[in-house]
Amino acid sequence: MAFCVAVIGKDNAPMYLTTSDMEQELDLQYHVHAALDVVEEKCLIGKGAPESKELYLGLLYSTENHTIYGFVTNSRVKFIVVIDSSNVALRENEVRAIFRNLHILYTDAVCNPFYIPGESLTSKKFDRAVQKLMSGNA
Amino acid sequence: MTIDATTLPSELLVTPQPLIGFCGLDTARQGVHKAIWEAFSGSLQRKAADRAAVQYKLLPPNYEFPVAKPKRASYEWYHPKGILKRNWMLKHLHVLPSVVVLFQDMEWNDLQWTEKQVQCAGTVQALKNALQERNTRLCLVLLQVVPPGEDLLAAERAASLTSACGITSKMLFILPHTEHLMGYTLRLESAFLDMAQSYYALMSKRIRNHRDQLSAAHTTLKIRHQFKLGFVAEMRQDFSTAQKHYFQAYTILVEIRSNDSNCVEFKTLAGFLNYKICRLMFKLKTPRDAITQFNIHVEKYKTRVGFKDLAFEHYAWLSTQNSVFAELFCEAIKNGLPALQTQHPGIYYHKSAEYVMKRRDAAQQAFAALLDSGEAAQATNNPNPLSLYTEFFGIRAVKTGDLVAEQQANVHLCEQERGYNHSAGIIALLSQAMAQFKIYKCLRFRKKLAIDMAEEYLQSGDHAKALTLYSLMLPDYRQEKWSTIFTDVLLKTLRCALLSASVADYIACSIEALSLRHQSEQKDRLLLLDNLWQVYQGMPPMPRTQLTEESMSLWTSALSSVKSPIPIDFDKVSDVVEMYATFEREQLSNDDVLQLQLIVRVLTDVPLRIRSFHVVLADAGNSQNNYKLEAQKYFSFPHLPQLRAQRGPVDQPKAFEKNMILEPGFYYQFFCSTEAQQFHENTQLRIVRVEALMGTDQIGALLTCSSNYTRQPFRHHTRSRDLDDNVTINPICYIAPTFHLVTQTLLGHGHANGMDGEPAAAPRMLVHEYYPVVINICNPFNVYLMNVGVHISVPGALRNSVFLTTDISPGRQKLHTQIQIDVGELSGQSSNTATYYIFSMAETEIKLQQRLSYTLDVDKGGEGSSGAVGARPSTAPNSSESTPDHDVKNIALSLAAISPVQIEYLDETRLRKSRVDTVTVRCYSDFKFCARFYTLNRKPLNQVYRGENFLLRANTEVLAVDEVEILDSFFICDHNLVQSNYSFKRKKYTNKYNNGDQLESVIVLRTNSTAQDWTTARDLDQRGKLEGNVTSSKFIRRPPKSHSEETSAPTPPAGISAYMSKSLVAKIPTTMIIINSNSAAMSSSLHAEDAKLAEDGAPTGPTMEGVRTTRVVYNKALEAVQGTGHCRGFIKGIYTLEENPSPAPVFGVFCIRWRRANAKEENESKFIISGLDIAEPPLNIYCTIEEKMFVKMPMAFKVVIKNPTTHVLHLIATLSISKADNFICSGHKQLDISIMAYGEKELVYNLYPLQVGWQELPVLSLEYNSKADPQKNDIHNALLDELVLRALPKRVFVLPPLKQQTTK
Repeated sequence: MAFCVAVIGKDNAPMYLTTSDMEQELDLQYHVHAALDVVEEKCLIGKGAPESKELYLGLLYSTENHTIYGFVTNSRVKFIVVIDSSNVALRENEVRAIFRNLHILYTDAVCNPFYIPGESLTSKKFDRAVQKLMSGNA
Repeated sequence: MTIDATTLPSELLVTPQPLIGFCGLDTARQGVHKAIWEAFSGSLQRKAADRAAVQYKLLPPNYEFPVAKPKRASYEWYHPKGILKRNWMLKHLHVLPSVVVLFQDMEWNDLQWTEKQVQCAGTVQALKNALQERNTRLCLVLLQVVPPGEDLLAAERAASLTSACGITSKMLFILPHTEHLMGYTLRLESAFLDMAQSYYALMSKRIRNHRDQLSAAHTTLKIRHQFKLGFVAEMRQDFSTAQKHYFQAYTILVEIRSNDSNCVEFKTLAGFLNYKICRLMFKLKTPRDAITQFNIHVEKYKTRVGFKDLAFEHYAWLSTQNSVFAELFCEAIKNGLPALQTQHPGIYYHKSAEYVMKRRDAAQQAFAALLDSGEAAQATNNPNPLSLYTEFFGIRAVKTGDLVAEQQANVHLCEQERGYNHSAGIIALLSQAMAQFKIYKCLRFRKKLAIDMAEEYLQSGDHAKALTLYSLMLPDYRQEKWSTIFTDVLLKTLRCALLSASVADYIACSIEALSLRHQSEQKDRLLLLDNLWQVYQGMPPMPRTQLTEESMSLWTSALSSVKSPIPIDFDKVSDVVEMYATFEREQLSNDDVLQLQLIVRVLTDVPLRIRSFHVVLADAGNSQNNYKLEAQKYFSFPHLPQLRAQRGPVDQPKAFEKNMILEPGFYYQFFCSTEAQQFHENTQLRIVRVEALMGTDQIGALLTCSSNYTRQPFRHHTRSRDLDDNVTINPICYIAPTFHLVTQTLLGHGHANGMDGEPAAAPRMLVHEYYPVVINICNPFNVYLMNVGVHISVPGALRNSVFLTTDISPGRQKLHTQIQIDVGELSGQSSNTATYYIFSMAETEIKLQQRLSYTLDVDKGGEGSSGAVGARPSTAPNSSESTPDHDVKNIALSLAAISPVQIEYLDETRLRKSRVDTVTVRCYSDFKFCARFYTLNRKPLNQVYRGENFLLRANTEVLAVDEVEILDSFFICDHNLVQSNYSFKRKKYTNKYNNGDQLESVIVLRTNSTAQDWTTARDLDQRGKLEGNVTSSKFIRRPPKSHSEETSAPTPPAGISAYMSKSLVAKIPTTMIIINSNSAAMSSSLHAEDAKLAEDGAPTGPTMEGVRTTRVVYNKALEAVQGTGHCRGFIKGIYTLEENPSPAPVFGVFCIRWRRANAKEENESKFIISGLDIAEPPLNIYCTIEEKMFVKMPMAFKVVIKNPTTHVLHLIATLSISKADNFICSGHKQLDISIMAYGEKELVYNLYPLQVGWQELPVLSLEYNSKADPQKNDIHNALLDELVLRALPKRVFVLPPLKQQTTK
């Protein structure tokens, strides 16, 4: 159901990116990268009341084919999920659920003592789980 | 071209406005007419915002109005060929006026009124004929010069005119063309507007009537009518109605099923309607609705492609929709609509651009298909594209159903499409989108657009522009670390550089592409490297795809004109080569060899050949001065631990060769060295950057890497990851200056023993001592030094208590707070000494600043001699070359704080160095001094009475640790006092006193004036001047030869104690002048006063308050006393640091001359004695007794009573013997005395002592004779008693009879 999932570090360098359509990867990367504009803008506004900060940022922007959702953790790690625009059946709640699960997966991956914070995520387990999440079987 | 699909007609884009036609105005020939026309339509008028939205049209005299079509009775069988006629909007906007205004020059009182009326009627009639079947209003405006007034004639003529013309009187207007033309036109305009409104209202009604006749089948007509209604409503400025009608039209349109052939028409119309709807929505301030409407619209029509062959037409339409909407959006924002980051015009521009790309793709496909079918040739015969179009929007002049004709038309369109410059369109749209994205803070999106744009340029063949854009975007993406994107951009940049033959960019990109971070294979990197070397050797690169002839020639010319070396900033281009430079030592003296290490590691997996390595150094203070060092030798290590352990595979470093190959993974350690001499002393050298030159002599790349070692705040410990983590880096090296002088300071040794041999432990410095300090200045270098000097200064805190001098010749007048000793010149390996003395008034730790300085010639020869190894000033473009001499001042200034050695450049060849040290001397106390006052009866004294003697008892305790010889001690009393010795026994000082020894002096003092009439030096001066007999001789007294003071044995009980406190000496005065009045006392004195009075404060605190220290500051060390007689004088310039100086006068200075045992120099300690209040007594009583009394020897007991007042005193003196058996007494037992003013009376008694030992003397008591002087009472008597008690001795020691006496 999700088209592309990206985890982006706090300095906006990508830590993980996967897509179900490898041909479009570059294009998607551009899109995900551009979505950071919106994430930054939203986080900036959120600075005023950090307590009530909602991690889920909602729809960042949509293009012809893709709808892009964002999520930012407290450590400013961003999750970006790209969903096919034609998939109208997907509701916002489900997107939230994807992010929640992704957050859990990410936390697990980062908890690995051999993982160096800030490096890209290369864990196979994480990758498998994300792939599963993307296909909707999570 | 497909004008319907790509652009909206201009008549649609304008806001419809009522059209009003003017006729009868001859603007070309008549000034008045022209003015009127301009008043209505001119640009001047349009500025006024409150003017109604009206469009005026000037109709020529024989204007042909469009002929109205005959009305259709029934629409039952009427099927129009299209929805909307092309000319309909134009007709109503520009051709068919709602109101026709006829202007006529007619005055009411015109002589030819009738003729003119007829003529006018004719014109009106002609117009009426032309406007048959139209509802166009006709009105008549008379242009008159005379202002309108109530005129009977006018009314009558107006009536006749209206009837002649067949118009109502409401349609007749008068326009006086006076100076108030503007006002009249405004009013006329509103009248016209009313008429126009009613015209359009009528028109809507007519259209509505048509509509009512339609059946359900007439969908196209319904759309047409709704559109017209909307349009007319817009004419009437009724926007909400207009929107409603347009929307209805749109809904009807959407419901119609479309097929390939009518698809274009429907889309065109839908586009029109959507445009109008969105426009009105923005206008009515409902932007959300507009955006929603637009999105729905696009969503609906996105899939209706129409003919497959003409897919490009569909995309063109979509693109237009987006761009037009974006423009609307922009317009709305201009009118105050706030836009969001996620919803702004840029998005639509971008979409529009995307559709243009799709359009191009579709067009290319279509054309390819066309070529396949071989129909391209046919199409060229049909040159006129407009022939395809009918009078209806979106309908082609092709018979529906005629497949061949349709096919032909499609081919024709394809042909046209080929002629369209898609890239230009895309780039224009993208740039608009970029501008918008920039406004709405979507910088990354903007970058993406820039990349798209660059790609477009690349596709369109404009490689140079593409390269510029790409290379602008490279740093941004590099920084963001999106390696996939970056790789993409980098490779495209490389491609652009290749195609546009930009050598610098090609080399830079190639080197960057060698990094492992770019996702490619090792063989690709090897290929890149090969090509890179091709370029270095002046050959065009040979990529997989062969270059065209054109680019080959481009390369050839570019390579010949390349500016080598090409700088590449490795701070930005990362992960190819890692370079660090470090100084081997953090500090060097300037005759050492400066050594640098350069550690290099290749991070990629292909070997690199480097021509040379350089390290660029700069002064920290002056970054203009750059030095370049070349790496000479190297070690290579396969692993980092070996590098750290410095264990190379070979013991000797290998010499660096040109184009050495650096293997990937190895650590290379290079060495550079130079002599530190060539740098300025006292500077910090900093590694500015590391440079590696790659390539050949002709073309090379200069890889520069600045050495700012900013380590990450949170680093993760990985053992071998980071070179930076594992090697100590010294980025700064300090060149310590050489100071050519070595000094040795000897304390406390005078000339006698300071120089030779073993210096014993330095004696302690004492207060008031001239303490010698010897500096031994030695020059151990082979350098000739000039102007060697020592400058010693007292720190500010001790300014008034510590002094320096070099001169202790008799006089010792010159005391300074800072002295400069010039030693002169010191040749190599020589030494000299300088001596000075410290004099301190306070017992404290003294820290003197000792500053040595010298000048020497600078040897500039060093730079040339260092040869190849030596550093040469860098020729790097960013460092301005400057010889050190010009900037030396800056260095000296900026580095003053770093080192104690200061370097000053006097001129090109000489510099002065100076160094500041601190000499610390601890000063110890010399004597403890204390002075007290007593009466002659040895009672503590509270107050001094004028004319009475009293005692000063001065106790001195030696505190000095070392042995001290006291040469002399004396008291110099104030001029107002007279001193005499208590006893005539001369005081003898035994030499050499030790710590704890005590000495005492007793001095008898008397004053002849009270505190009020205390004479000061100034008084005396004035008096002297008045008398004119003062000879002021200036001389400096010589040291006394003998002692003026004698000790006295009696020790009265301690009463008033005056503790001495060390006072502070003030600034250095000029030479002292001692005014010596040639008094007899002076000449007869056995002892010359000591001229060298370094005075000391010994102020006594008031007794009641106990011991209190007063800091008294005196004028001068040596002669503070202005002598006026033997041991008398004025103490000069007393001023205290205290706010309220003690009111008591200063009685004098106690002075002790002493010297260290075995030393020659004499010192003097001086203590100020501050006195008591001096009062006027009612009587002075002087008592005289023999010095020695013997038993049974009569003696005289004489009492002199002196009256110091101006009154006569009447007294009764009574002598009473308390014990009858110790004296036999003769004289008046009781006596009435009267003493005249200033007179005196002597009472003499003869006493005959009867017993030996301490005997009570008979008591003399005085009291006022109350009979003679009735004012006096008991209180005065008590005072008298006190006086008597003080003045008269009570007891006397009677000696046993002398031997001879007894024998007698």
